[in-house]
Formats: sequence, structure tokens, C-alpha cells
Amino acid sequence: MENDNKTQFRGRIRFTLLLTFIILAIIPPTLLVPFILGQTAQQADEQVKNQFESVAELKTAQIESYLDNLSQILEIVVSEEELYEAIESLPEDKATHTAELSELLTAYLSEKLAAQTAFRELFIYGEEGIIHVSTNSTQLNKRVSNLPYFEPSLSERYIQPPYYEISTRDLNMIFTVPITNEEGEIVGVLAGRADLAVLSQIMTTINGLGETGETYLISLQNSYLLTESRFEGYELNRSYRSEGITQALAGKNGVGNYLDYRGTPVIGVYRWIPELQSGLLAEITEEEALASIRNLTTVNIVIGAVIVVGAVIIGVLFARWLSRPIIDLAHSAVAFAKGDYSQRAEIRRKNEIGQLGQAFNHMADAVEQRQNELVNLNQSLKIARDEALASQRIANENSRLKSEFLSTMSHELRTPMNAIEGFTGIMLKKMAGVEYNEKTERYLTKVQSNSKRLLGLINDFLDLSRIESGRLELANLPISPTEMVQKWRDNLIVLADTKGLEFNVKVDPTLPETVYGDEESISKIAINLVGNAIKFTEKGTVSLSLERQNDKMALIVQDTGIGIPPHAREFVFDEFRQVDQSSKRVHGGTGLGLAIVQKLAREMDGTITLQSEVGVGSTFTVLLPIQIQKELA
Amino acid sequence: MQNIPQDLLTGWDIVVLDDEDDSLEVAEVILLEYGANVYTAQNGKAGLEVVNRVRPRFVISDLSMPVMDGWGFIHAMKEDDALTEIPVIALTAHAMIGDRERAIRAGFHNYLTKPLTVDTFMADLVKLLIDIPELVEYLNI
Repeated sequence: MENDNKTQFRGRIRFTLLLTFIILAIIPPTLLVPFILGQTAQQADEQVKNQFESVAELKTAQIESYLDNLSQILEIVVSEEELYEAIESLPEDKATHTAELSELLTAYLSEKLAAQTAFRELFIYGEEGIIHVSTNSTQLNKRVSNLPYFEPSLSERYIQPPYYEISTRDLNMIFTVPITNEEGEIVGVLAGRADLAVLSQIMTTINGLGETGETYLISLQNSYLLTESRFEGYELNRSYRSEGITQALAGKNGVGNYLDYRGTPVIGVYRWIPELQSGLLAEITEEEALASIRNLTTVNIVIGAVIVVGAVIIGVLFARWLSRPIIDLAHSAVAFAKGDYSQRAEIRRKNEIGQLGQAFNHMADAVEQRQNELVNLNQSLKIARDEALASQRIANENSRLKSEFLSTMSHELRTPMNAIEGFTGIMLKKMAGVEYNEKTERYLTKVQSNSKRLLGLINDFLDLSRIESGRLELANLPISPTEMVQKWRDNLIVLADTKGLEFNVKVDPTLPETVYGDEESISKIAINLVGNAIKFTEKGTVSLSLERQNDKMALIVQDTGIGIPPHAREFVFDEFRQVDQSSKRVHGGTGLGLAIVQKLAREMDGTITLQSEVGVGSTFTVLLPIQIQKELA
Repeated sequence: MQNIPQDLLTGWDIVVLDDEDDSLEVAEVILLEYGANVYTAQNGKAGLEVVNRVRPRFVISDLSMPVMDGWGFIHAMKEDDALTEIPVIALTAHAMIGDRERAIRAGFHNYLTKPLTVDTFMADLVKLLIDIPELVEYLNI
């Protein structure tokens, strides 16, 4: 259970902290890096495009310059004196002079050809379209009238864009200049077959084009490559296609990102070059163009990864650093709550968490101290309780023994009295054929009266002991006051008669017909009081009345006896006290009667009061609560 | 009540239980004097046998006895349908306040205390017997 809690704690707070740190670490790079990279890539793209546009411009300029150069070379050749001298030196008879002229012109052209490298061949053809003179003797007498440049070449200077000539299986580019006579009539055409290697050289000069940059020319005719491809060399009879090529050949100038003829993504600039009837393309692969960006991306990713890893590590450490004292504190608190009061938090730092730990420890100190006090107090209480229980057990045992002793005493004292009293009575009544003389009767009477006196003493003593030991169980039974008083009268009238006293009884008619209580105890009070009254009254009247006084029942016993002097009224209810020692001998009795009366009255929540005047008489009033319902046990 | 007829209990079968010989004899002598047939036993168990055999008009029983005391005896009497109607009067030296209540609760018809006195014993007994409707018709008063 405890381990589970541990795991749970650590998992929650650490994980939350860690997650927060990681999110905080990752969000900025993930949001910013693509933006920055995008911006940079766009800039790089623009830069490359500008660069390649410049390249394209340069190449275009170089091509134009090249074309001009070649045209000028031909112009110079045509305008040289030697050519005209040769032509003018021609005899009228064409047929006889042809061989000579050819020889002259061939020599002239060969000389001019050798002086430059742009042309591979210089030749002259006439209006009829037959090559008369050529630096390449195999071309002599060949027909050019069917070739594309023938018609335009008859009227003006012309550049035949490169074309594929089936007969030579070669790309040709022909520059022409008309040859005119003095009258300005065109007598022939000087043509030069350009060496395309020069064009190739211009286009394949790759200085400043990086690893993958290239410039090339594509002919409108069949989309043939006019110059070498940097990657695939030169291949005849093959059409090259790409978006840039299409755009250029459609006569457009522009720039774009597209797939080149190899299918490689490139940034390309395209130009239409009308003189060559060709497209010029300057391209570089995106891969290279954006390599710096890619590098930048890689660097960014690496930096981002480093930041994230760093953030995670710092996050883990920080989460641990931050959470450990909290977790420890939580563990301490849990252990403390489970009852390990010696548990204390370890204070690692002096920050708020440390203060929390300190506060916890202070609280724990206080709780532990209080707990210890409680444990001690509890211990003391337990001991005290055990002692009290032991005392109570002893007290209960004592009480039980006392009760048992009383019971036994009662029984054991009465049993012999029963035999004494019984047999004395039997003899005096002359039962069972007993006979005796006068003296025997006198002595038996003395035995009887003394045994009665002893019995009275025993009874009073036992009653008093029983009340004082708290073993008195009061009955709660219906009593008829009228009948009860009648019983008392029946019981006591004999005693009054023997002393010649008047004995009156009276019952208040307002008393309930039935009250609840212990008739035996009430009777004992009445009989004792009346017995006392008779005992201390020599002549006159003893009266007993039962009256209602509000919610109480008053038992009043009045006599015309000797009275009780004021000084004796305080102790008249004490045990074994009579007014003076002599009275005991005169009046007899045990001195226990009034004590029993008072204690019984108190047991029944009643009171007893005494009014007396020496020589006039005494009045005892016992007030008892009236119970008109059976008390619930 | 002073003059109780000498033949008050003539022909009555009465069972008296007491473990004390002397006490037993006092009661026996007095009851015999009034014409009763007295049967005695010294404990509750023996008393039950006698009661079963004699079926007396009533029983006078001590409370403290060996083997089976007065409380056991009254319990057995009340449990036995054949004997439950026979009145049993307790006669005991346990004469302290509250004892009477307990005895009546246990099923005794009434309660007399030792020491019994010849002068008052019969008078008290007659008073108790008058309360018993089944016996009144037999009393020769």
C-alpha cells in the first residue's frame, strides 16, 4: 500500500512538471524554425534565381557576340580586295576560267579559314544553288538549293540556326553573306559552316555554376540539344523536354522551379534566342541551390534536438529537484497520518518548500508531543481506571459480604429465638399436655418477655444495618391508605390498651384511594413512632393521622407524653440515644427505633420533623412523596 | 381472633417443611393443637414427595434448607400443574424489610416470620387462610 502511494506521488507531480518543461522547450523552436527556414529558403531561392538570370543574360550576350563575330568574319572575307580582284580577274569565258578561279578562291578561303577557328568550312555557291568553291573539296558541286538557308541567303546576310542535316548526320549552323558585283548584283553567296564546338564551349563554361549548374541550348527543331549536357554529354536525335524548355521554345523568358529533362527538381532560367531559333536554359538543382538552407535546417534540427534533449534533462533534474522535497513531505505526511509520529520531513532547501517542511516538522513535533502526552495520560487513566475498578470490585465484594453476613446473622439469630419463643409459648399455653405450677409460669413469663425484648433488639439492629449498607430494596406496590391505617390500629390498640391510653387514628379523605410504595417500610415507620409514643406516654392520648399536604402524604403521630427537651432534639434520631441513660431503664427499648424511622423516611425521599414541649407532648411529622402511579423500573 | 376454635383445622392435612428439628416441632405442636394432620419434611425435595402423596390443604415452608431450599420448592410447585393450586406459606427467619415482596413474587401465597409466637401464630395464619377462597369454606369459624 505504501509503495503504491509512493509511485503515485512521484508519477503525478514529476510527470506534470516534466511535461510542462518539455512543452515549453519544444514550442518555440517548432513554431519559429519553420518560419525562419521558410523565409531563408525563399531568400535563397530568390538569390539563386537572380544569379542564374545573370548567368542567362551573360550567356545570351556571349552568344550574340559570337554570332556578330562570325558574321563580321564573313563580312571581312567578302569585302577583301583579293576576293574582288579574283572575281574581276575572271575571264569572260566562264568555262575556261572556272578552274583557275576556283583555284584562286579556294586558296583565298583556305587562307581565311586557317586564320580563324569559328568556322569549319567556308564555301561559295552561285544563284543556281551549286557549291563552286569550298575549303572542303568533298563539298564541291554539292547542291544547296534544297537547304533551308538557300532562299534567304540570296538576298541578305543570313544566319541559319543550327539544324540537323540528314546528309551529314550532323548539326549545322550556316552563316551567309551575299557576294555582289560592281553593279550591286548578287553573283554568289559566301557561306561559313560554323564550328558548334565554340557555341558548346560558351554554353558549357560552368565557372560559377556550382556542382550542378548548367547552361544549354535547345533547338526549336525537334527540341534537340544544341550544346552538351553537363550530365549526359551530347546525344543526337533525342528530344529534350521540361517545363523550362517548353516555355523557352514558346518564345518566353522567365524563371521557375520545375523538373528538368532528367526529372530532377531545378531552379531554372529560360530565354528565347530568336537568332538561333533556340531556347537557352540556365539551371541548377534545387538540392544544391538550397543546400545552404538544408544545412541550415539540419543545423536547426540539431540545435532544436539539443535544446529539447537539454530541456528534458534540465526538466527531469528540475522536476526532481522541485518535486523531491514535496514528495518526501507527502510521504512524511502520509506516514505521519498512519501513526508514525516520529516521522519528520528532511529540509533540503531554504525556500518555501523548505519552510513548508519546517512548518510540517513543527506541527509534527507538537502532535508527537501531544500524542505522547495523550499516551501517558491514557496510561495514567488506564491505571486509575484499573485501580478504581479494583476498588469497586473490592467495595462490591465487601458490600456483598456485608449483605451476606447480615442475611446470615438475621437467620442465625432468629432460628434459636424461634425455638425459645415457640416452646415458651407452647408451655405457657399448656399445649401438648404440658403442666406447670405458679412459679414455673412466672419464670416462663420472664423468659418470654426477655426473649421478645432480645428479638426486638435483633430486628431493629438488622433493619438498621440493612438500610445503612444500602441493601434495602423498596417495593413499589399499590397501597390503600385506609386499609393500611386500619392494620396499624389493629396492631397497636392492644399495646395502648395495656397502658390505658386512648389511641385515635384518622385518615384524610382527600388522599388518593390507592398510592404506590413500600407498605412494609411505611408501616415500620408508623409502628415505631406509635410504639415510641405509647412508650413515653403515661396517660392521655396517642393519635395517628394520615393527611394530604399538597403533593405529599403526612404521617403525624402526636402524644401527650413527657416531651423531648430542646438540647436532645438534635440527637434523638441517632442510634442508641435516648434522652438520658436512666430513661432506658425506665422505658426500655433499644434506642434504634427513631434512627430506623429517619433512615427509612430518607430512603423514601421523605423528611421527618419533630415538635415537642417538655411535659406537654411530642409531635412527629413524616412527609412522604405521594406516588399515584406505579413507578417504572 | 383471640378465640380461635380448638377444632379449626380438624381433618386438615398440612405439610410443614423446615430443616431445623426444633422449629419443625414448634409448628407441628401448635397445628396439632388445632386438630390438623401434620406431615413434615426437612428439605424441599422430600417435601415435594410428601406433598405429592398427601395433597395437603396448604403447605408451610421454611426458605433456607439443604438439598432443595424454599425457593426451589415453590418453583417446582408452580411448575407442576397438579400442585400449582396448593397454597404455600413461607415461614422464615429472613425477616428483613423487602423479603416479603420477594417471596410473593416467587409464588408464595404469603409470608410469616420466625420466631413465631404461639399467641399470634394462629391468628396470623387464620388471616392468611381467609384470603384463600378454596380454604374459607373448610374453616370452622
